[in-house]
Amino acid sequence: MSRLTEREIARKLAEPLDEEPPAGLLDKIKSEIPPVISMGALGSSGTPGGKPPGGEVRPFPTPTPASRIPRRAQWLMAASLAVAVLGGLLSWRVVKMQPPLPTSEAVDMQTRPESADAGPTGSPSESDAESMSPPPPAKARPLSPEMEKQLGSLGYTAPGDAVLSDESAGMRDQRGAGDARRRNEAGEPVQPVEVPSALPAPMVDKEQAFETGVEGGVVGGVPGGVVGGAPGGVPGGTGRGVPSERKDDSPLRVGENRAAPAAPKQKAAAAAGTTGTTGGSAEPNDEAYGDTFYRAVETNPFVDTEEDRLSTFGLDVDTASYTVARRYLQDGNLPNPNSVRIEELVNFFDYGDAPPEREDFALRAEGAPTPFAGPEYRLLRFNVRARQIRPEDRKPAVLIFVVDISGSMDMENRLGLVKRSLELLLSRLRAGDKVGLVVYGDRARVLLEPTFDLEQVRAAVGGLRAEGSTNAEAGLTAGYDLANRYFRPEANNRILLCSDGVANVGATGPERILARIGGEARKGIELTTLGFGMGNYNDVLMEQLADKGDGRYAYVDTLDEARRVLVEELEGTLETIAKDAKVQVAFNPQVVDRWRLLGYENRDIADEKFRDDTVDAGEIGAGHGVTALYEVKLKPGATADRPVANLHLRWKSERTGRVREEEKLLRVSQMARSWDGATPALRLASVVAEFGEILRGSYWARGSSLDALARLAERVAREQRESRRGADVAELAKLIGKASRLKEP
Amino acid sequence: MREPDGALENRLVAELAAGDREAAERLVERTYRMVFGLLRRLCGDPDLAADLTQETYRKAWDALAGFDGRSQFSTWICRIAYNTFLNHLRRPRRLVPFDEAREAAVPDPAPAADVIVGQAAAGDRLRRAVMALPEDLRYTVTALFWGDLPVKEVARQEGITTVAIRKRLKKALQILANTLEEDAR
Repeated sequence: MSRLTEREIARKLAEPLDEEPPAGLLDKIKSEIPPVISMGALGSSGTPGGKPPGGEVRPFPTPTPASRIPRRAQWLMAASLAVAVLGGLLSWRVVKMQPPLPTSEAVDMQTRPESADAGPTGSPSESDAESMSPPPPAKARPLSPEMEKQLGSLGYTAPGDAVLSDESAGMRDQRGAGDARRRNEAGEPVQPVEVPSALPAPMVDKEQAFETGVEGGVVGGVPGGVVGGAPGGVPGGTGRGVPSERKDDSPLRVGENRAAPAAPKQKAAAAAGTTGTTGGSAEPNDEAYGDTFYRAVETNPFVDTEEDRLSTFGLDVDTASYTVARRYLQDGNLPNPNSVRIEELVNFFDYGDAPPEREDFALRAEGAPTPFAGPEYRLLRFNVRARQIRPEDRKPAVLIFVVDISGSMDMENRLGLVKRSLELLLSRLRAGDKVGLVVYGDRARVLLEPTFDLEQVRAAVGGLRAEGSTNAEAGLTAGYDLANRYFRPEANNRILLCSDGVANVGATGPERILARIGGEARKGIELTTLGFGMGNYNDVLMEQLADKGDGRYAYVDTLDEARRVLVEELEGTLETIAKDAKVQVAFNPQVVDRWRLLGYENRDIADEKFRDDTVDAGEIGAGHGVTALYEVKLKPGATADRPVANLHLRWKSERTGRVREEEKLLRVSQMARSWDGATPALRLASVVAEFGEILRGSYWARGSSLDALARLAERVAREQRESRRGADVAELAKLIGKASRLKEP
Repeated sequence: MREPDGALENRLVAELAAGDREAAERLVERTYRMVFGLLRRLCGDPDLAADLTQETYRKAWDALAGFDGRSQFSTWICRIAYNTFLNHLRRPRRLVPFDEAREAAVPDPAPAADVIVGQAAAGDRLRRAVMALPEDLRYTVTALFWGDLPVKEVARQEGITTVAIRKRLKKALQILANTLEEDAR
């Protein structure tokens, strides 16, 4: 399938609409002009651009400072507007000369129910993927000269279609080689990709340190010894030009596209001088929007170990993406690629890693060849498993349920599922736990002050009814106010937000509430978000809230999922073992040629920040297991006892309040020689990750087919039928089969 | 030579401010095609687009008190139209039929793929891809292409530079290219 270039898309977007407004519309509008129109503020205050009426519904307004355009430029704008309007008129004339769309069929299709709800967070339904070959640009309707001009001014016109297609062919060819060139295509100034011109001196030292350090038995020695003290020691010395802290509070994360492959597939590109693939943080991230956006867009690329041997990220225990995907598939749709976060898919499953007896964490590292990559590749699985807490050892909890009862919660019985979920949770609470209830529609109100009387809570939850619009900000604000008043330092103080994430009313976008959530989390009030419903569902907001709130984000598609999160894993959901848990994996450049982290794209932390304990990272609840997968390419001739990679985990222990670090070394000899010889955990994880990669449309899963994966998954499911996760794996196999039929019918 | 449109719009707004109701009619005549076209492409449904166009103007009259004439009327109304559309999306009652219909269609959703062919489907695919863009990128694409607004106007309205608008557009087109490519796979 050919890829449309940006120019072609710009031209398609600019195509005139072959449709007149319905007859009578003009009169209807005119008849509604009120006799007196108030024009009080004309010329005195506020820019219309900054504060349009109805602006309250912009889900997450970008902060719009007052217009910065100098007045002296206004005549220019007036002129360009004039040109555009003239152009508009011209194009209308062109339109009028063309026959109108005669197809009632087309109209039918467009009024198909889905189309009304594609929505800001909605997804293109992909069930019709196969039929959708973009029409060749040659058939594109002619653009008006003025639109051509506007396109030209935007850098999206080409002299002719011939040039255009040459261009596009060239673009396709380049995709493997030149990200920077691609960026330059529309005449945008090229940001120099920051690649160290020569290996910085410390790099050499580090390599030596790896060898001497690791081979010399530093395991369990001085923290940081293994990696030569590099993290934190040599900012920027690792080839990652731009330190990339997480900036999750950027409004741009909303609705972001994480699916785009941004770096060449170096497997295919056969080595030789590849640059600019430094783990996703060498992008020109310093621009206002570019930062979060670019990072969010890309799937992690392969990184040359010679350039950057450290992979650093914050842990994430969320599992919502898996249940979101499950919901999509069970409804007969392929999941929106943007909703697929591989780490959340992978972490949905219990891999049977044993939790530690006394320590906070048990670490595990393993590797094996995979069926999804060449023979020189290995899949590495690092698992971090948190200590479990017996229900009776759990600290008492002060829980504030913040429940969205807006009109949208009425759909598909979302509120009903919330109620039953909360009732499940209530059944697991015990004497000493306190629960309060806040609801919000247009406004928030405290339905129940926190009380020990769980029967009273149950009655209040049972009586919830949907009403009005959504003011999530007010709901959370009321919830935090309540939690503050009833704060108990010795308890788990937690807000539980149940919503479909649609936040359409509120004084501001999420920035203000996000800022508050971060502060409250530091004070010890954590926020767990439970997502309900689909269609108009705001996955990103829910994830963002939980991330800022140091809590967990789960998507509740079924009562079983509610049971899993709120009953089986209640201790993990309520009680945090570790805060700001970060992982750094150091690869041995003498064994690993290149590596790629699967998932955790939005958890990236700059290497040198690994030992910066002010960096916000992941919170891990009791009993939680977190798995990180890497695909690595081995160098030829790596001998058995060489270290492959060393896993470092750094966290702040809730028990002691102290920052701790642990590590786990993986040697060549510890890796399985074949996929068949790999542990069940690794086999399952590789299938899950590949599923996610295909759903995301990852560049690295291009050659893979869901059909083949489904057969593999069935095999794995049969093998693991008897294990504790047997039912989950069987379901996974079914879902992959379903996705396969949807995508490759 | 004719009066430039921007200046004409400004004059009409000034006349409206002076109490000339007919100026409002002139403004409607000048802009309603653009508003309808924009909404038509946003929602994909001509009837709905007509309703939303009417709603846009109802809102505009109420809101004119807040209009200070620093941006063009057409720029301003474009934003109102866009917000009206977003508001529409969030109306639960509008969404209920969607879910019911979808659930009813669940037993075998696959055949739908065969039904949708041709250019109209392609347009719809593009529309839905635009819908899936991040908020600010989506507005940028809508305003530039479907509202026919000049870059500078959109930049001023958004309170950012024209360079930033071009960057947004660039990103939007990249995402659209990826989305359409993935869809087509």
